[in-house]
Amino acid sequence: MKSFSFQDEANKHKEKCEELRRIRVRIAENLGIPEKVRQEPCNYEGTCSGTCPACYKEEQILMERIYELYQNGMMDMIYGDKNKELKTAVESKFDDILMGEDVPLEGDVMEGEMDDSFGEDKSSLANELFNPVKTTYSFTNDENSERLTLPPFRPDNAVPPMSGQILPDPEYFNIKQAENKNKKHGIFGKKDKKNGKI
Amino acid sequence: MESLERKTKRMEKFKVQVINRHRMKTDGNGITTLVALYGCPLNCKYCLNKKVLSIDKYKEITPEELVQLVMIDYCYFKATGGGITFGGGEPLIYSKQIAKTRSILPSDIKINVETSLNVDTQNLLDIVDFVDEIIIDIKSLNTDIYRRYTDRDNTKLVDNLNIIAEKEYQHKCLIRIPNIPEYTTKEDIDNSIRLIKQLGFTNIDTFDYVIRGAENNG
Repeated sequence: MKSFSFQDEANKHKEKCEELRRIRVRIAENLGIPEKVRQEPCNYEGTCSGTCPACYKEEQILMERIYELYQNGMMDMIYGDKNKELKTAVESKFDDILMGEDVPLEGDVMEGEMDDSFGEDKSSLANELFNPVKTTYSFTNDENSERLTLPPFRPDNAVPPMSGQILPDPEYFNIKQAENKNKKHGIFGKKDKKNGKI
Repeated sequence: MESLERKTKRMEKFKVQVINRHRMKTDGNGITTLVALYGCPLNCKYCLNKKVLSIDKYKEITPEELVQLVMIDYCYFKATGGGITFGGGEPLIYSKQIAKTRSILPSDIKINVETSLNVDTQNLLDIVDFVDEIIIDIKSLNTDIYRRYTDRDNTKLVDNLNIIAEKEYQHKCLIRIPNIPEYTTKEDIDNSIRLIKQLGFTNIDTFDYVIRGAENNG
C-alpha cells in the first residue's frame, strides 16, 4: 500500500512552484515584460509550499502590468489569440503532473495511507482551518458594488499568503471595510467611476 | 423544521472552511482556487471532511470579499482558463451567494461547483445557467445503497439530474461515480453508468474511494 512521505510532498510542491514559474514567464512574455520574471528554475533547496514571497512579487508585477494595460485599453490585444496558445501550452504540461490535491473534493477520500507519526491533522481540513495564514488585502468594495471589470489592485505593502492557502480574517475585513467606507476614492471607488476610468 | 438550504439562503455570506490556491487539473480546467464551504445535507460514511463539518468553525465572508481574495490569482486564471471551484461540504446550499459572486466576478474567470446535487431544485436553478462546470458525485443511483451510505434518499439528486438533462446542460457536467467499499459492487456501478448515459451524460468518471482510517466510519 502506498505510504505517505515527506519527500513526495516536498517534490510535489517543487513541481507546483516550477509550473507556476513557467506560467509567469509566458504571461510576462505576452505582457511584454519578460525581464521582470525569473527565467530559470528556483534553486531554493528548503521546503516550500509552491509559492513564496519571491513568487508573489512577480505575480504582483504581472498584475500591475495587467492593470496598466487595461487602463490603456490594451487588454484585448494582450489577451487575444496569444492567450489561446498559452492556455494550450500550459494545459498540456499539467497532464503529467499531479498537484494540488491536498484539499479533497466533497465526498472524496485522499489516496494513500497516512503515517501515524505524521498525525491526521496534517492532512485534514482541520489543520488548514485552524492554522490559517493571515493575509492583509486592501478592500475597495462598497455596499453598492457593481460588476468588477478589473482585477483588484494590491498595495505594495501587502503581505503575501505563504502556504498557497488564504483565509480571511473577519476582524481585519471589518476594519478595512470601515476604513474604505470613509474613502471616496479607490481603484474601484466612486472617484474612479466619476472619472470614467472604469 | 427549516431545511439547511433555506437557512443558508437567508444568509448573504459564505461560510468558508478553507480556500486552497493553485490547484491544477483537480477540479476544473486550468489553475483553480478551491473554496471549501461549510455545511452538507448528507452524512456520508466515508466523508473525509466529516470532522470539520461537525465542528461549528468557519469564516463568514461576503461574495465581494471572496472575489477580492481569489483575484490574487487573476493572471493565472486568465492565462490558463481557470477560475473558482466551490466545494465543501455542499456548495449549492450557497446558491444565492454563488450567483452574487458570478455577478461581480470578471466574466472571463470561470466558476465550477463540486456537488452531490442533493439539494432543493431551486438551488440548482439559481446557478445552473451560468456555472462553467458542474462536478457531480452521485454516489450511487441505487436508492437503497444511497440511503445506507448517506442517510438520505436520492430523490432530489435524480430530479436535479433530470432538470440538467432537460436544459441540455449535460456537456457542462462531469459525473463521478465512486466505487464505495462495502456499499457498491461493479454491477451497481455499471447500472449507475447505464442510467446516467440514458440521461445523455457522456463525461463520466469512475473512481475508488480509499478509506483512510476507521475514524471516518459511522
